[in-house]
Amino acid sequence: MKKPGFKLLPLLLALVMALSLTGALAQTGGELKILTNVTGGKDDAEMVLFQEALGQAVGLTVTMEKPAANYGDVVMQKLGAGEVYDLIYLNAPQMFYLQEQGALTDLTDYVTASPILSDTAVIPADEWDQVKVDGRIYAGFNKTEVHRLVNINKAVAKAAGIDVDAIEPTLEGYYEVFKKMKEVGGEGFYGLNAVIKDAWDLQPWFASAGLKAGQVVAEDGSVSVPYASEEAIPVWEWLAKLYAEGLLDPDSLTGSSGDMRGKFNTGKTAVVVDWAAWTGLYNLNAGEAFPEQFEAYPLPGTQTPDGGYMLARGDASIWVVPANAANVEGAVKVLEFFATQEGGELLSLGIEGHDYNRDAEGKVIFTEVGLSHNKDHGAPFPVSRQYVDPIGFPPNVELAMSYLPHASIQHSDALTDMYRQIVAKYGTQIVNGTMSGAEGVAAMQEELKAEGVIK
Amino acid sequence: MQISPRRPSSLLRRRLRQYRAIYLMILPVLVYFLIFSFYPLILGLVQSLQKERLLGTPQFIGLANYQSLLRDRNFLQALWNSLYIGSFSLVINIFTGMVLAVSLNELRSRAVKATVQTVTFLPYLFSWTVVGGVWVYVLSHNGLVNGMLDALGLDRISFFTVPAWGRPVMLFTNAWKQSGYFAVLLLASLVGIDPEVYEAAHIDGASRLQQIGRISLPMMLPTVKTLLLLGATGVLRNFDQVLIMSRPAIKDKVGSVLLFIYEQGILKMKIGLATSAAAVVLAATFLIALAVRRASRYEGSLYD
Amino acid sequence: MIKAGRAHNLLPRNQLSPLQKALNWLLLLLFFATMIIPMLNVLAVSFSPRLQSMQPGVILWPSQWTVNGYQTVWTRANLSRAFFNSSLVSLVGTAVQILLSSMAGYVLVQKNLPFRRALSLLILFTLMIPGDLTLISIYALNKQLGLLNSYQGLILNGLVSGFSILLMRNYFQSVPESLAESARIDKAGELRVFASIYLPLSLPGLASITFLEFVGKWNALMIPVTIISDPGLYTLPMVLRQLAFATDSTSGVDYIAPNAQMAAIVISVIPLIILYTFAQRFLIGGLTLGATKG
Repeated sequence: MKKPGFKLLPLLLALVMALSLTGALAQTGGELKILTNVTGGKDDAEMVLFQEALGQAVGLTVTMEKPAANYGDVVMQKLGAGEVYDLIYLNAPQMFYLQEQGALTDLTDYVTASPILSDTAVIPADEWDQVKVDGRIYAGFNKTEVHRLVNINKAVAKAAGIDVDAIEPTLEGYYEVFKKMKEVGGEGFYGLNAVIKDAWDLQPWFASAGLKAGQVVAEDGSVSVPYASEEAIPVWEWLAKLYAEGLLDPDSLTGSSGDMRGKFNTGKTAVVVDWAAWTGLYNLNAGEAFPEQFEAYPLPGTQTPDGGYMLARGDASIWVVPANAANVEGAVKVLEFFATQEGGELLSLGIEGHDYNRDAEGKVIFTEVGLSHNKDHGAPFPVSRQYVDPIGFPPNVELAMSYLPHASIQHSDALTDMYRQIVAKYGTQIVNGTMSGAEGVAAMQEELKAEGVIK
Repeated sequence: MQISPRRPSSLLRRRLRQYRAIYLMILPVLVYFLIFSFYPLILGLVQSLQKERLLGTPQFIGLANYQSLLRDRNFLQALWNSLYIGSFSLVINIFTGMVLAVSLNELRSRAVKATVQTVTFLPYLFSWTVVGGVWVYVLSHNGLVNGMLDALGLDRISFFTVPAWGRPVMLFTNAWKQSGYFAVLLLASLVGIDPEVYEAAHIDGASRLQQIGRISLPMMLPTVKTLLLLGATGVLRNFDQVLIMSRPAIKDKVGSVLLFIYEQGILKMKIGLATSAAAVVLAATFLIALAVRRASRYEGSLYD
Repeated sequence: MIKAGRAHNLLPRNQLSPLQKALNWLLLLLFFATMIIPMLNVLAVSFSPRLQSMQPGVILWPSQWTVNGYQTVWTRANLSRAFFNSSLVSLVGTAVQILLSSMAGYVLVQKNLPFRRALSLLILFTLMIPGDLTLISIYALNKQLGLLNSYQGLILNGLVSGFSILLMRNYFQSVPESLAESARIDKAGELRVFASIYLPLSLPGLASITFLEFVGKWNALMIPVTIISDPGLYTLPMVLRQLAFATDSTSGVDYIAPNAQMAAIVISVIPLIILYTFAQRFLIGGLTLGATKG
């Protein structure tokens, strides 16, 4: 007697199995294309490992492209020619330009729906303001952006009899410090070195007058530039005094941040203003000179009139999802991953098995390759506020990071570099004595208004 | 002699056929330019007539980009800076190259000649990132040049914070980097000169200096004119040097038009602005090249 | 020897006067001195230890000789592959370029060629097109032609330059036409005239242009960066640029010290310098041109 039911059963079973298998495969078969500039492996071999590690973590096949140079150009070319990416690395200002052109996906709903990204303990609510346009979110974060603060060479300060923790946080206080340290510093030593040509690192000094760096947008939409106001004159004149008395390195007017760092690190400058992360890097770079001849020690600068401090944070480094992305959910998954402990470790320490290994107790041991990468595969300070660093930081970095609450972001828009150029142009003249503080500030105001920076 | 009248078009056709082989020799090059130069050019010009939109269909806005550009004071200033610095640079560089070529040609020892030529040519091989960085330091407040001025009892000069020094610094460093390159090309037209020619002049009583004036210089002239014309196409193209060496105080005087395009266009993802400004540069370059061509033709040479 | 008058022996040697010679030397010394400073600086910094290389200014001698900079570059970048890529692309590209450009230059020298002026102007025009105008189109074009991430792409882009064509024309113009005429009367084809008369007589010019084109192709960065995203095809400048400017992010801590940056620069320039010393024989005119006496 033929029993067709028996033959049907194995067929049905096979079908069900096949379906569930394809279901499982579909989950691991999704693709994600990323265009990156900083985040990722340091060379092509490492990039392959990085992609795999990331892919495994989010259950997708990840391809990462990293142009060798001219990143801005390449982004334009790829998008303009219709290439499809799911995630593109950018700096916050660039995000605004692309959003204006309607080239980005609105991520607000994805963020609110995500348990990780909407958790304010992981990413504070006001962080998202940096990537909002008209209240809608257009990017995710690559890392926690750190602030800039005063770094003083503690070793030289000690030799000059200065207790770095007891420095008076006023312009006069620092003036005295520069004078004293110059006496021990010797030939070619200067008290302060700044990068005036970019008007980048002067916030700790203008804090003394309570003036914020950059453009300040008021509620009614008007824009002012505090550095170009009358209240700013005393600070500019303080800088001019330092220059005239040989306490400010003349190269401040022409040198780049690279020059400034070189001088500080090799003991030719007493004080600079630089990233919190660099406090540690300076100390690492010093090698054997640390801590006897050189120690970078962080300070919050001058005090504002109401007793607080004022520091500046950098532009956020972010990930945008282009409007023509193929896999938006996948992209959001990656953003979530970056905000986890595991993700943070990938972006800072690197790839397990390549940059580091764990010993029996789970402690992290760096390989030689990992050491040379300085714990930076895109996010030396991962975005999650809950992230626990397995190693700890280079000397004095934790102290530097403790000042983060005093820091705020500078406003950034299409006219920001015009602002910077104008302030730097006249700032240079004030500092080298060509113009008086009042004249310089007036000239700044005039040109800023003419260019539409001040509204 | 009877000249039988011919219809002009058939004369042309005959000449075309006569030169068939010659045309074939230039064909590959023309095809290349068609594909890699003219086609992208057309595409770029079309982009300049659009409102930038990297993704999705761009909007045609006609000459709006051009109108706002030509009203922008900073663009016009940058254009003028480029014209000024570029033109003077070209002339100075070629002149310095000529001096260098003649000097090298007068050297007897081949070893010295080779060494000096190599060294003077080398700055051209290094990028502006390296060369510019070195010069910024050498000219800095505590740098070599000011050190020498000090030693001579003179006042220090702030080369990068005094606007008047901006252009001279650019011209000088540009000549320093490029003249070796021009010297190589100019020397090539000198070494082919038969030594007998110099000997003949010598026998006629000409001093070496006069020989240089009457033989070496004229032999270089065609190459000089070619280099002038070729250089004219690059007059407005200063970018790397200005990017590295510009400083806020002198930027008004040295900011080049390509730097403007980079800062206002590329960095801000504004392809419409970038392409329209570049088209203006193209038109201006064309006019400059025509002017140079006319001027040097006026000298009455056989050169085209 | 020919005693065409003892006056011959009484003439002073055909040289500059001692004073003029001294001035000549002084001038060249000045050039030499100023130009060697940056090179010494780059070399010295590249052999300096990490911290010392951060010292500002022009260092002419390392405080301590070390190859730490070069080691960093070696471990961080895949140089051998990049070197191979650059060599292949530059050699093939230059060879094809010189052939095509010299032929084109030859064509432009033919006096009675119809449309000759138009052709010259056309070629001159291609030199005027700014890169920004074609920024996006070049990428799109290469994509359409399937040249992305390929050796063909690297070779074909920038293959021919109007600069070389017009310069070759310039050097060809000093070749006497009579030679070409007599060859043509002997029924020689155009290619024959070109190859056996014009080329040999313009050797210094040809050599100079060949070398300069090679340098240009070797150092090319803009277009390769655009069309190559596969690291296996990176050329040497791309690899070194990527290394030297790895610290692009605003507050990253991955820092490449100046000694490694300068080592990268030295590595990229050394092949060109070596090539130059070989090519110099042609450039200073070691080959005499016998045909003019013909």
